[in-house]
Amino acid sequence: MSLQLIEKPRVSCALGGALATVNALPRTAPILHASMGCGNMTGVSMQGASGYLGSSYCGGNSTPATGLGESEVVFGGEQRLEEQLRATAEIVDADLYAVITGCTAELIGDDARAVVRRYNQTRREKAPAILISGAGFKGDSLWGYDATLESLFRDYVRSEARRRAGVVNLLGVPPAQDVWWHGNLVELRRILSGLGLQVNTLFLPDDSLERIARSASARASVVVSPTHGVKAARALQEVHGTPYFTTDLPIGAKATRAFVQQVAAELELDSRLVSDFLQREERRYYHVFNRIADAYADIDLQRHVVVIGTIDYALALSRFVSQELGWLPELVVVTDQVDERAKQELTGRFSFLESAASQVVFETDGSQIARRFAERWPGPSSGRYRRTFSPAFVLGSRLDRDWAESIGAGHLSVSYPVSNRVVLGRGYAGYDGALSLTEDILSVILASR
Amino acid sequence: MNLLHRSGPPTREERLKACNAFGGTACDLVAGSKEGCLGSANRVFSQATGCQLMLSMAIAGTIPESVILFHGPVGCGSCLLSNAGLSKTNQASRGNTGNIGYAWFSTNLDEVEVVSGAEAKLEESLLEIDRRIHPQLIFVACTCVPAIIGDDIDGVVRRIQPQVTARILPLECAGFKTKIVATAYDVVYHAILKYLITRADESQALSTESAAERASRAARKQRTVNLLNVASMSRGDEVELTRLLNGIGLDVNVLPCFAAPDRFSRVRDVALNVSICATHDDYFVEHMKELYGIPYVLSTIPIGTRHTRKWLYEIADFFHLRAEADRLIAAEEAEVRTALEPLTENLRGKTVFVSAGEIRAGDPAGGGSGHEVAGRACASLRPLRRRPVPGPPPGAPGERGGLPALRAGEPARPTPARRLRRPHGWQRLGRQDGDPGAAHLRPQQQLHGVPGALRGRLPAPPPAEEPAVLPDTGAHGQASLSRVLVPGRSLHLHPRLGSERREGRRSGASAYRHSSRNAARSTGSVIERLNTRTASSLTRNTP
Repeated sequence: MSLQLIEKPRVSCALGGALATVNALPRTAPILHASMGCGNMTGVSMQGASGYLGSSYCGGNSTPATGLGESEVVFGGEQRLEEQLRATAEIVDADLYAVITGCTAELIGDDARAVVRRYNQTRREKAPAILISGAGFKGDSLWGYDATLESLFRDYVRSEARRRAGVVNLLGVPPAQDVWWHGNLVELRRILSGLGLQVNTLFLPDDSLERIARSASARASVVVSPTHGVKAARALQEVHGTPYFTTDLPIGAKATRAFVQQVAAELELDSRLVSDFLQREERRYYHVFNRIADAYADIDLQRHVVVIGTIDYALALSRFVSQELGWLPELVVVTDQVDERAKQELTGRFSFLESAASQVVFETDGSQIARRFAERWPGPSSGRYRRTFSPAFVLGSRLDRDWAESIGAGHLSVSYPVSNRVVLGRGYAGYDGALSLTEDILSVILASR
Repeated sequence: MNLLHRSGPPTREERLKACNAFGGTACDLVAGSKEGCLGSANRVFSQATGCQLMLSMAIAGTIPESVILFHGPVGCGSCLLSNAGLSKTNQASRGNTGNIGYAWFSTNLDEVEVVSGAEAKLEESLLEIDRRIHPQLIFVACTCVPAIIGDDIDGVVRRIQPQVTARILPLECAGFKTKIVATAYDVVYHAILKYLITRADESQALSTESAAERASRAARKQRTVNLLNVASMSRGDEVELTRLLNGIGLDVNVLPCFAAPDRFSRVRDVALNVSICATHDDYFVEHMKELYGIPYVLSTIPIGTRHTRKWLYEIADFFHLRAEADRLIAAEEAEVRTALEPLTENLRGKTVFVSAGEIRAGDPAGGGSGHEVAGRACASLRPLRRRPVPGPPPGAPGERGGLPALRAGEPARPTPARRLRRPHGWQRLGRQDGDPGAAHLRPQQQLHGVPGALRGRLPAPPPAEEPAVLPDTGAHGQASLSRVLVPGRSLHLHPRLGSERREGRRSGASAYRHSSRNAARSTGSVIERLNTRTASSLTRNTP
């Protein structure tokens, strides 16, 4: 598939995704082998547009980078990479160095793999290095997330003969590009732990490189996205034989029940344990969730809704608002760049909608989202009585706010980019996440009271 | 200089012999600059910076009714995602309420196009944007990939321009081409000068202007200035400086940021260009002088009473408006003094660390509010005078006495005295590690370590209140080292830790180890620590 001209891309490039992922790994330092500016350009987008994520250890302007200039473009940059890699190993305290190559390095034909191999062979007591291909022309930042984990699984993770029954890897929640990644991982780990599993999330404070190095021996990898993380999970299976399965990102009690049941079936968990867990969690969840029922009925908090986001959020949000919040999804816009075949397959996942075929569209461009909406809801005809899209709500990214205002709809930034909210520990997955999401959505509607 | 025959401006390395890495003695620096051989300096350890593509958005990204087309892979331009909303507010504050906000596209190049060339896609993209959005301008920002694979952007623009209504402005801003990211300003100004202003003139010539209209325009021109507002000038600054210039009877065009494309047709109808920052505007004002005979003022930034006064007089004198300036300044300064009165008492005897862009850091912030400036961090290097700051007032316990306490986990520092004995003593100015340090050194201490030959050429400490400068490397960081290289006045070495030349005496790595904890934080955290220290000493000073 040839890529199309794209308006305000809701992604950065592979290098940006790789950088964000490496920044989230414990005790791992990135080294960019790329043009001057790649680190800052993608760093700004991955941090500022992800709820002010912050640069983390050795991120942002501190990211070690070769800063390729004209002379390297002409004479090659391998020597510069070698120098930078050794200097970084000298200066930067980390247990793993991740060399990320950008467009320039890959176009001029630097053999970065050879440089990394040479370093690894002669590093003595210094930490090892891995290589990640992050050329922007190969893929976007979501691709970069997969490329990073793939390198990690292929080149860093140890092969182990014995599988550890109670351990799973949790994939499919890309740091930064899932703005709620931290909170989501915390909640998903809590849920899986409740089922008696030990969870390797890779990116949380209590994860470690040692734990990641043992990912291969996990019982399975759980990928909570139909697309992101799949390539990495497949690599882990290919190289180390670790099986994987994909689920949707669960938001809300119903979706989480389906998630838990799928995990239980895949891993053959004790059914008694699972039903006890679900009962306990749902009682706790509805005890709180029910509080909104009065206001919802009295002042009518039901809305028509347009959902805009990457495939995982488009699925999870539209399912939650339609099945658990009682809202009416009019249009679901998937912003991933996917080919026709994948479009058909992914549309099939929206079977919970009344007519997925007409309600689900794939659009990367904001102005085209507005056009697709106008096709479904043509502007008001003349006359006193007309069918209006009201009361309405748009669940999307910051880029959709102006349009939401223009159609008189409420708006909440959930999918990337989110530059108008600060996100620290908040997540939207699972039970606790759904309560937060309900609070956030309804608070927008009630803000004027 | 007239460089508009070129497709893009020269890099600042080429035009100004600027560099952004240096390690060595002041002598090396002066000699190197004279011989023009600083350009090859590099670091063994470097860290992420911006690029000229990113910085060019500081102007291009503000022009209303325009679209930016990033010709490259999908990540180039993604920095705009983090402030996509801000632009609308900024435009609205200037009264721009057009339909096109912050609009940008990416040609989204993939592996196939990298091999086969991407000119066709660029052509299609330009046609599609023109059809879809109908902008007045399309900036084509050329990234590293097309620059390396050899796309002929100018050729595409020539072919497509007749087919679209939008004016196409190519920006040659591939990141790898310059390490001095401020070249970005030249890139955008180059495109504006070459494509926008010239064209505006053509359309003006064709307009049916009556004799009376022409006469009135000429009269207006006699008392109008362009106020250049790139990047470091906020809306508040624009309003204030316009108010002051109006106050002496001048009309003001605020350009180029947030100026609608048609406003550029008036850019020649002025008597004077006013810039407050050479890093931003020198390329533009020089060209306006050369091409259209419009002189410029570019000497200070009007911050604080002293520099505002200087700035106003300079402009007023050009227009023979000295009396008006006197009246305005007297009234304004009286008002400022009254307003500062309550603060003066609190600030007296306090030590302040100023971190700002080169010109801002160089001029005393606040203007006479009683505090002293301990050090300054600036984004690039300029000749700056320095004088020792007097010691603490007697009987103020704890003040400036010892170093503030180390933060947990921080390795012990050498004392300032020990560092002074190092052979290359000037390096310490960039590496104060937070002691209220260099500013309190006595002159002979400050000179210690400077080779005799150079010492003789040092200027006597001037009476002006300008203490030591701690240069910094921010996003604008690599601006213009060349300007520093006035013999004897160019003693502020670049502080980017580990900024030794590759063939330098000590590797960047070991230089870095001397000065920092293990984390590879660059100047950011050094300044942070300075701030922390300053803050803690302020706290202690508070009775």
